[in-house]
Formats: sequence, C-alpha cells, structure tokens
Amino acid sequence: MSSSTELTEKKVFLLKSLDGVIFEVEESVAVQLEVIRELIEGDCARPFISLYNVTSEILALVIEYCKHHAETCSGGTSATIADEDLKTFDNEFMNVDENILLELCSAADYLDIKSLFELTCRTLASLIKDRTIIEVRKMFNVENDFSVVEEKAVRKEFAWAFK
Amino acid sequence: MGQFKSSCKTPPQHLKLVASNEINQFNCIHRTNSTIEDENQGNFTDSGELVHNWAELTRECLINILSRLSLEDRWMGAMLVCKAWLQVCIDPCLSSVFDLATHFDSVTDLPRFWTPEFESRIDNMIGSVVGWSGGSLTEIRGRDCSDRSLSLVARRCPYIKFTLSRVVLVSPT
Repeated sequence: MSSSTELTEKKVFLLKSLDGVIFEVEESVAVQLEVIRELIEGDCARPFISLYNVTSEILALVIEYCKHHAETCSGGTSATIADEDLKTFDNEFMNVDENILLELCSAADYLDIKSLFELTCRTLASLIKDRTIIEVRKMFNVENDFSVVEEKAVRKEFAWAFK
Repeated sequence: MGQFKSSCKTPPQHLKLVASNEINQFNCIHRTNSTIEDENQGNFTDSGELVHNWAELTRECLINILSRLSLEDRWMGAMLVCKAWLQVCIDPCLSSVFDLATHFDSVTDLPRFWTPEFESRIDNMIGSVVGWSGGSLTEIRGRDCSDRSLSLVARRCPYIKFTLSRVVLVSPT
C-alpha cells in the first residue's frame, strides 16, 4: 500500500465481490457503476460496498475497464485520440473467452455500466451471427430443450423463412 | 473447483487487495470455494469445472443481444437454439419495426418478381410479425405488400406507419 496521505487526498471506495475479495477503487472509477452511485452520493458506501452477483475475477476486469475509461476521458487528450484509444482498448478487452464475456455482460447489467453493457452485448451478438444453431449451442453451452416434434413445429411455422 | 477456464485474465497488478484490520473484522477475505459454489448455483461438469451459461443472463440482456442480429439471423438461427431464445425472438419489443427492404433488394431486379409465391411469403412474414408484436408494430419498411396484409396491419396495429413504394409493383398477370 502506498502512503496513507495519498488515501486521504483521493477519495477511495472499497468494493467487495461475491467471493469476499475487496477492491479499492478511486471515486472516478466507482461512479461509473451506476448501481453504487447513489450509495456514494448518500454517503452510505462505508465501510465497503458488497456486490453479491460479481466474482472477484470479473470484478477485477470490470474495474480495469472503468479505470481505463476514467483515465482516458480525464487525460486531457483530444476527443479523437481518446476515442481511438478507447476503441483499441475495448477491442483488446473483449478478447476473452465466451464464458468471461457472458459474466461481463451480466455484471455490466447488474452494476449498470452502460458502455460496458453495450460493448459486451455487441460482442456477443457478433459471435452468434453467422454461426449455425449447433455451433451457437456448443459455444455458449445452451441446452437444446426442443423435442424433435417441437423443433419440427417451429421450423414448419416459419417455413417461409427457411426457403 | 469453482474456477474459470485457464484463459481467464488475472486481476491487473494495479488492483491491490485491501487487508486492513477494519476489513478483517468483517471476516470477508477469501471465503471457501464451497461457499462460493453454494451461492453461485452454477452448473458443474463431471470434472468439477464451473460452467456458465445463458440461463444466467437476464431476459433483458438476451433481448439486447438478439436485437442486434438481422431478421434472418434471428429467424433462421437464434430462434431454434432453445425455447428461451425462441420466446425472446418473438418478444413484442423486437417486432416494433419490421424492415422488409432486404427481401425486395434481392428480387426486384427480376421482371415479374411479384409472383403469387413471393406475395404469399411477404404475407406470411407480415402475419407473423403482426402476431408477435401484439399490436406494438409501428413501422414496416419495404416495397409493397398485398391488400390482405395492409388490411390485417391496419386492423391490428394502431400505431403503424408504412414506408412502402407501391409504384414499383409488377403485377404477375
């Protein structure tokens, strides 16, 4: 830990993950999580904020994302360069396996981080696109709960779409 | 047990764990894996690996994701993945705008494209979307549709706005 004077200079908050790991984040990062913004504004964020739906692995990634976005936006660079930088970062950030993507999407929804939610939804959609039904099921571990008869019925109902 | 696949990123170095006395008294650093599993209620494979799946996503998440697919991708792919996806694909909020333009792009170069088969296909699509939308359909974009479809939409969708260009109609007769 760095010096305690730094802690008093910068307002920091403690976020506790589902598995009990505590992360220290600066206010500029914490306020990007809309779900806790009200707690912070109401001064109800002490001693820490428990986030019951997010594991430490995912929370670490979420914080990395918010930290980078906060730093880039306040870095004093021009808007065009900042946009370009965020785009590159976002692309790199989405380069994780599908399970992590799903977790990140859920976390962004739960924590109400709009830009991350948008990013993960867009990425997941691009993974589904152009893949066969069987590939999609396998990739995301979705169980086919249609019976043969039901699947036939759906195909028949939408036969015009399969021509 | 309870770990992500090996490709999971490790927490960045700059995120240091806080372990002050104040926090320790809440006994919250590193609970056991078994507790995590109980609370996660995730699925486990035979080898004990935690498997995440779409069931953990809320309906709103899934709607958002599937709304980004084209109509064709939804109808010819996503809809048949599982029952939950089918329900999302026919959710009224995904049927508020119906863009038929691409269906016309591929055929309008042909003479006499408006065949009875083509009309019947367009009618079927509009009929399905009108049904799913539960009356919330607000816009149909395309080149034309039959009087039958027009009448159906007019009856069932009070907020409809058509963007059709009937002048290009080539009658089959």
